[in-house]
Amino acid sequence: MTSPLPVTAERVPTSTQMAPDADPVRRFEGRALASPLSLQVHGGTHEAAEAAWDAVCDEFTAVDAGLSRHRDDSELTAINRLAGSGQALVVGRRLYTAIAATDRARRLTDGRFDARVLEDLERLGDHGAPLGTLDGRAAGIMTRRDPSTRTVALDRPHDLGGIGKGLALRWAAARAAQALDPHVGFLLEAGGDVVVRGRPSDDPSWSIAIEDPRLDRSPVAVVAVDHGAICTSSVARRRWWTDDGLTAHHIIDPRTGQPGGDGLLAVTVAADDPAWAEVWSKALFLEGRRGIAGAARARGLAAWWVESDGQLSMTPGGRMRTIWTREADEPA
Amino acid sequence: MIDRKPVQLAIVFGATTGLYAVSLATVTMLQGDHDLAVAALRAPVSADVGALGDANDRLSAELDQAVAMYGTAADAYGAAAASLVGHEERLAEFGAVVTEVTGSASALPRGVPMPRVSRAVTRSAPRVHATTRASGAP
Repeated sequence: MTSPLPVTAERVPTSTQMAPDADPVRRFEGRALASPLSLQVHGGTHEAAEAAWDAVCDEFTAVDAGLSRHRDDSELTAINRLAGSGQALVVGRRLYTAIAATDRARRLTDGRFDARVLEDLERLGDHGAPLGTLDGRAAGIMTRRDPSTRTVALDRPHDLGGIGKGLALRWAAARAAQALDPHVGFLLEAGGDVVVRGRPSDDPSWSIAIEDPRLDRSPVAVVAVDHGAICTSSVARRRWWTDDGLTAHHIIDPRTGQPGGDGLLAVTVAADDPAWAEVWSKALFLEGRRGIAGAARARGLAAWWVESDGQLSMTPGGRMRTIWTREADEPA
Repeated sequence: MIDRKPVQLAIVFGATTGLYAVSLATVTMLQGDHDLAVAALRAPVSADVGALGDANDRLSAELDQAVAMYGTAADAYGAAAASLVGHEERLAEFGAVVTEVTGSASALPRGVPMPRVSRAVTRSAPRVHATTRASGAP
């Protein structure tokens, strides 16, 4: 069943699926932010589920218009083109919140998470909307924000891809919850990041698979999530060859300007909020195979990671939520 | 002629004895008076000497008590010193253990493969509601 709702101007939902009336689970699917978008509603009325899906699509459309670096007409592209010039623009609530969130994330991760890597991505060949020549750029320009007027001037161009998707999930989930009865559980997924509320109608808790980032893409583990979000930063898909003949991926280490996370293929983090799950999954990824265990345990995070040889590891918090691993299932 | 010499001798002996008795009584009386006078003179000094003796006895008793307390304190100090030596020895042993643990900790790998998950009882992946994966999926 095709949804009449355009998720974005460029990406129209491919289908909206609803189970038979006997099945209380209603499923909606579409695309947003260049990734699949889906909503499962467990229980409640069909009208309420439709309203929740409408709210989700509306939210993602607004986020795409404000935070996409691939759109020539987005607010982010506009302020990125002025980055380093000292000129400020009045931006929308979502973009302002996203800029503030990236500043806070950079502080809390000791600089591991830094959205100011767009120039590095462009240099490595991951292109978004053209930014043009930054003629007015001057040294020493700092990012400035004024919350009273929502005015922003950036020091360097920002890539809000990861945290933008997390924020979109946060805001869309809040709007979906408003459209649904409090006892109705739902699961919202965007591009491999998942946020859940309430309980599923068919299980005591939500069961989320962690994809094996290697070729087979089968689950490497299944974890139980009662409330909150689970997000993955992985280099399984977004890899490419640079002009120098080297392989590159999109998780850039801001300390080097190069792809980071030596020895890791994917990092998954469960947290209350999807934006912070995104932030920590990326920050932990950049710790690399040698540093991730200490960093994740020091933060008390529920985290899982897959190393280059396919080895799955997890923190104690992750182990408490794990209900199945492929390694345990394989014959000794 | 009557011989009167024995009588005279008796009279002389009697008179002499009487005189001696009177003299002895006089001397005895004088000696008693003198002794009374001397005793009267010595009475205050004797009282002072008695008080001094009592004070000396009390001081001696207090000194004995102080000596006993000092002995007790010395015993307690000795016990504490012995205990302190024991503590120092245990602290040195603990320091050696800490050094050993620190050395062992530095040798540990940063990533430790987790043991098999005991809750995993199914032979295949359980049914899931969604999958978290890399972004950019088709």
